[in-house]
Amino acid sequence: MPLRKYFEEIESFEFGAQFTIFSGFSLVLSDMSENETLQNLVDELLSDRYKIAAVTDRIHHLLDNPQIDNRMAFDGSLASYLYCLWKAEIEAGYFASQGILDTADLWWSAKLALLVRNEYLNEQISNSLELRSHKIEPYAFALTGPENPSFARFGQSSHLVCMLVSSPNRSRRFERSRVNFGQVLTKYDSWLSEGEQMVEQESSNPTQEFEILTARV
Amino acid sequence: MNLTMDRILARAHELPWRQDERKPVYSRARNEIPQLDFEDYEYFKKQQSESEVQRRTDLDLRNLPDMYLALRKVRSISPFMYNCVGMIFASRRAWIEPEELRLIFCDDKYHEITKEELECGDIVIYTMNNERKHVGLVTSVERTNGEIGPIWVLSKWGMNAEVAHRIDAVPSKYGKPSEYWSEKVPSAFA
Repeated sequence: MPLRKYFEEIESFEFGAQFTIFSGFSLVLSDMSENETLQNLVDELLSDRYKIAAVTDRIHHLLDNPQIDNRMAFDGSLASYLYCLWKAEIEAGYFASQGILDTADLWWSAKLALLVRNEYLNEQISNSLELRSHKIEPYAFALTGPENPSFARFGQSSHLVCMLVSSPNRSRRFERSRVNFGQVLTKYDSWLSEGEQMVEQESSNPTQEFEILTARV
Repeated sequence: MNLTMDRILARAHELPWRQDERKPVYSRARNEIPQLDFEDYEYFKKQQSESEVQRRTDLDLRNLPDMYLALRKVRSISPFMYNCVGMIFASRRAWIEPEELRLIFCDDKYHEITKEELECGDIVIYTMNNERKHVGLVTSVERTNGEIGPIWVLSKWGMNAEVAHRIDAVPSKYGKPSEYWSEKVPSAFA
């Protein structure tokens, strides 16, 4: 099937709206993995790299077209395109996800963009940078109330780590929102001294010994 | 290091959840039920409109088999951010993902019942491939000579409308009604 046909179908109101009935992101991903149109498009992308560029262009067309005043109407379409790029070539998905994250008022596509971006970055870190295991010594600052995270740092290392959640009731939320944490971490990157990068947190229990990935860039 | 930590603490007020206006939702056992992540909540708040909800709901209803057309009624097209779980367990004030049902059922002392035991106020769960896709609140159960008849359910269809419908009249992506739960303690004087 020519790409044009895929674009017509995926950008139809009926196709995009089918994801709005779901109550959770995992349900959307599960539905996309079973969607025949998306599976066929992934196969097309795997067979022809030119088509990856065409789908990427299509995402930017939807994001940048000044005639589209309601981006949310294309949220499902954008998520579908991004899903296909992600499955075909994660690097292409990563670059497409940046545009989606820079666009306001998107929903499932924004969540997927965060997932793709974090997965890609984690992959890069795992493949190319130094991995070490550290024992964490909790360094709880007196930020008051259960709303606030406490901070932890390595006892001896010069690597800065991350935020750890101090409240047991809150911890589940933060475990689940690790994808979103990426944005915060990225923001914090700019606060760190040169040569250090905050990367990832693996546990919500600050009193426990756990693995943390650190990267020296 | 100390310099770096000082810099972080000095800007801690910029952490996004500091501005979170939402109130937490707790189970009966006082465990907090996780809600939508703050950033997602911010997205959602801005993007929904009644006309969009209406348009998408029309599509959902059009996609139902003809036999179900008379068996549903749109109750609300509110653009406020709540979903099927939030409608039932958080008074339409929160978006709570279906995976949290396990915590809620455990903490709120729900127990599984059979379809024949269903009564108004009980919960029905729709599953597909062993995955919980949707939850609805039973609003009426008709019985004739003790035999169970039509069952009516109220549920919120994702970002779309809240719909009163017969138990089977839901979008096919929700799967089939396959679990029934209740927390009721029967009255001795009923």
